[in-house]
Amino acid sequence: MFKNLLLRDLRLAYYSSSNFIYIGSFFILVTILIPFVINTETEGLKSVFQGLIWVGLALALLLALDRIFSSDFDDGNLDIILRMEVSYEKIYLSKLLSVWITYCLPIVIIVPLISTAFNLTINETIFVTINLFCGSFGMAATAIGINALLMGLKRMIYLKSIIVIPLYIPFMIFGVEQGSWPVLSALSMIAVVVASFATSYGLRLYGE
Amino acid sequence: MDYLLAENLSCIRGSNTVFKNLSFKVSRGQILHITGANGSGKTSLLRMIAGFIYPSEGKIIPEKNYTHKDVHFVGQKYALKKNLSVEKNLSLWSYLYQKKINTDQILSDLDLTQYKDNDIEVLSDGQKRRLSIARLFIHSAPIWLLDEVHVHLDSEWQVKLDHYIYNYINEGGIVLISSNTKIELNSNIDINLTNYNV
Repeated sequence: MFKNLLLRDLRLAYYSSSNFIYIGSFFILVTILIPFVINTETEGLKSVFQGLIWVGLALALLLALDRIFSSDFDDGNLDIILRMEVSYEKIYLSKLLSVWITYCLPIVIIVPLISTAFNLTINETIFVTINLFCGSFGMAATAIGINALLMGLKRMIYLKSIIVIPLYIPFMIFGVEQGSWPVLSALSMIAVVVASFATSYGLRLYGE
Repeated sequence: MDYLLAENLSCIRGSNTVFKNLSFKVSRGQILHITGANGSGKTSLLRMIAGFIYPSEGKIIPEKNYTHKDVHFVGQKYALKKNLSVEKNLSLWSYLYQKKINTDQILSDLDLTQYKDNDIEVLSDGQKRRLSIARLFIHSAPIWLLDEVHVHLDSEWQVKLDHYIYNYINEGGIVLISSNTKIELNSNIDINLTNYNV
């Protein structure tokens, strides 16, 4: 059942505008847009890029905020999902994987491809990508947990963003430092566990 | 599941007591028709039986956490993604119900074959309702919980839906149906929730 739920979410992402091409294009545009407005030299561009990828990831996940649970809540599909023979924790895990694959994986793949344009060495690119891989799970989990708690609030993406963005700050602070993947992994693990409780609680409250 | 028994059910939403001391028993092959004024708790009662809301007082027997193997809840929402085509919506349901869906057969039964590739948002409310009813035939469950399912259907499809319900009852199913308007269905038990409002 877990597999079906995951495949259904991925199929839904494929059908709608949240597929690989859209997320990838969005991320590339965000990263190439900022250097146009910030007058910076080649060396500066490198450090700007290392910060930009985290802003790009955060923006991509903020775009997802109104889709995770909320669209199923609005159209009634959540009624079907919650009557499936699957625990809240498995629903959360399938959402985590589908959100990560849909919104984070394209960015993790694209970053090494475009990093040479920002003058990053191979070593730096590897560090950046590993950091991104380790931190992105926690950021996706945070988005899911907050959305599960606030799914009843319609068109409140600004409120959700105001709550989510401060929670992303630790990921961004450690994300720009090379070799901080153990800290990012620890942050992600904490976020994944806390978000699982938040999601279960949010889904339990759903009927009430 | 041979019967569904509710004993002294109460529903409190916020500081409001929606209904109190509601008891009934529905056995296999019976239809329970729930009526009542707006806000009398028809949807809340069905959602309570579906397991979405916990009773504030009383209990529902058999006591268990329902899964979609036990109940089929068709609510007022269509469970359709409005920016996706009819066919794609059916394919998404096939994952949730873990069933391979014969799309052409279902659309032909529902008279919606010509809309197969159309987005849901171009369908009328009646057509969306017909499509949402298709969920009842995708897989079987011993209890159908139908919340205002006749709304938006034309008279021909209201009769067809009643026919589906009678067939299901004759096969030993249990149906709880809520309606705010008069429906032609001959029910075995009628409950007017307005009588249980506080």
